[in-house]
Amino acid sequence: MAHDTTETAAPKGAVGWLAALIGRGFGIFAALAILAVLVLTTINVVGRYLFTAPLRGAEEMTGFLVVAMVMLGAAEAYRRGDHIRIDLLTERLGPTGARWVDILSHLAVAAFAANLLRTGLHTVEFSRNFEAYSAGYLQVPMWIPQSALVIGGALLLVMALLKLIESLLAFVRKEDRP
Amino acid sequence: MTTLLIFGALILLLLTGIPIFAALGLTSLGVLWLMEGKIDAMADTVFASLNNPLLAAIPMFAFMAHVMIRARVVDDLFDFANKLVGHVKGGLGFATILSCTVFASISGSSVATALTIGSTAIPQMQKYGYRPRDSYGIIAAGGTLGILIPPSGPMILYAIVSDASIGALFLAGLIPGLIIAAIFAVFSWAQANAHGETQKQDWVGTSEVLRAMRKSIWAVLMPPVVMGGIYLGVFTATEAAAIGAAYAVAVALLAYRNLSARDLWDCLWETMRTTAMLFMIIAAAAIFGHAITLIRLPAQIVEAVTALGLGQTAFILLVMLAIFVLGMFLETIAIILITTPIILPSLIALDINPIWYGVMLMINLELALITPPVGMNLFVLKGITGAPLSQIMRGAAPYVVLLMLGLFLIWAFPALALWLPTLAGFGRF
Repeated sequence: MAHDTTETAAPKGAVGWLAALIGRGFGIFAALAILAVLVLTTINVVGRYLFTAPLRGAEEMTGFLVVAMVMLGAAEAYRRGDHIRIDLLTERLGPTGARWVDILSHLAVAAFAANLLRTGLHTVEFSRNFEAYSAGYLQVPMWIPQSALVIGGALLLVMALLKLIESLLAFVRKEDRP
Repeated sequence: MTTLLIFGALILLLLTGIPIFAALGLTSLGVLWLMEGKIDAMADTVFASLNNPLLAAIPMFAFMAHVMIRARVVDDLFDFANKLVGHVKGGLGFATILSCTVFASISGSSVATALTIGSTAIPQMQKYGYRPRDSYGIIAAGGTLGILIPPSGPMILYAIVSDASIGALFLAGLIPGLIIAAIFAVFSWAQANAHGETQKQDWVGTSEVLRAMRKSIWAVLMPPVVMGGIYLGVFTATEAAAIGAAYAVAVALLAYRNLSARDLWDCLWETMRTTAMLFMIIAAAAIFGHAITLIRLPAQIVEAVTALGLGQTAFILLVMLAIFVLGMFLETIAIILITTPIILPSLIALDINPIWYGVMLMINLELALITPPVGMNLFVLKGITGAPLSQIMRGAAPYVVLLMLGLFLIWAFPALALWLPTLAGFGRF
């Protein structure tokens, strides 16, 4: 099992620069979503016990923020090689084998992300057409929080493709594993 | 046959080294496509699995631990435990397990516990004559307490998947966690005494111990602040975690005064990366859960259990054995998310208490952290010490047996897990 958390897990060069820009840029919003949950929940608890005035809809909003955090942060986690994988067999491969594993990995993540993007678009369209609203206090049109799936799928797809390009370039140039 | 094909495909994909979330997700999408001819349910399933306020407890606890570690609050904890019992021969190992126990009730993560306490305690133990492999064993094992002693990220996930009460599970893990910690501590003490070269430290005096206690008070107060609210029914798990995180920030900024805004942002950033990675596995596991329901796998297992006439004991033995084997190869979160939806209907059919099962599952997952070839705590130790994996594994081996003893105790005496939640009024859970 491996978390490749070193900087070397991130692509280098112009492709790497673009990947970092996208990953870090959206990652900031993901981190802010965690901060927002912290602030919302604390205000809710303080309001409930000190002022008998709980923050209505706080839990509902927390659920939406969790979705947003994951979708906006997954690409950055992928860029930095945080996603856990089982390297029991692959760690015994030589540099060429390891590059093939990387390429396969990026293709698999791209396939997952493309399907998330496609089905996410379908879900958002369905919710808009049927004017679905959240069941709680906020009564938010559901397509708004569901749009995070589309953004998350697109970000992960772009990131997987950028890493794939980087791996292919390294393969052609016979460079070290990016 | 279908089941074998699905699991065969999943194992094959996992072994190719692609991320776990992608392997789980793609296998499940294949099943959906074969069974329904479309995969439109994917996005809905992902959204429904993540749109859960209880999940927010996990990043809140992670952020709290990051802040406490970065503010070096944990160092004071080890310092206090060390000064308290380090003057006894074998006391340093005892102090290390004690620190792991308290830190486990702060971090909720085994890896974080091993990493944090290990960085400080291993050089100290080796300085006082502990054999390197013994010091690795103490940290590898002490670290595993992170997922059994509440709060615990894996417990929260199990509670969400099994629809069990998080408060009841946390309470149920407390006594077994303390018992296993005590077993570890006694063993480490006996091991150090059996090994002639282990030296004791000088007694630093009562006033110095009291000073160390005053310094560590912020860390010691954390478990009651965080867990007290859940046990008393005042806070939900997410609220308790948020209050804990706010407490950690307040301690770091007001008492320790050693964190800048940049440090806090770094803690938030680390939390975001870990959580996004973890929650993608949750999302993919939800699609997997949907897929195995389509092929009626959980129902088939219930039917097989009934047909074979398996009782509670035989079923639990089989499941624990299967999870032990899975634990040698798979990561703990993936094991919880893959096995729980499959096993839960059989637990209900056999009238097995899901809280009791949850505690046994956590102990089994503790074993997974220190059993080769894939044991996260073993890798963490290799990362921080650079020691050969074989030496670390030899050090951890006795603790594998001790954890099995702990698992046996909880199986033989369910009240050890269920007494506290019953006392707190969680009833039939």
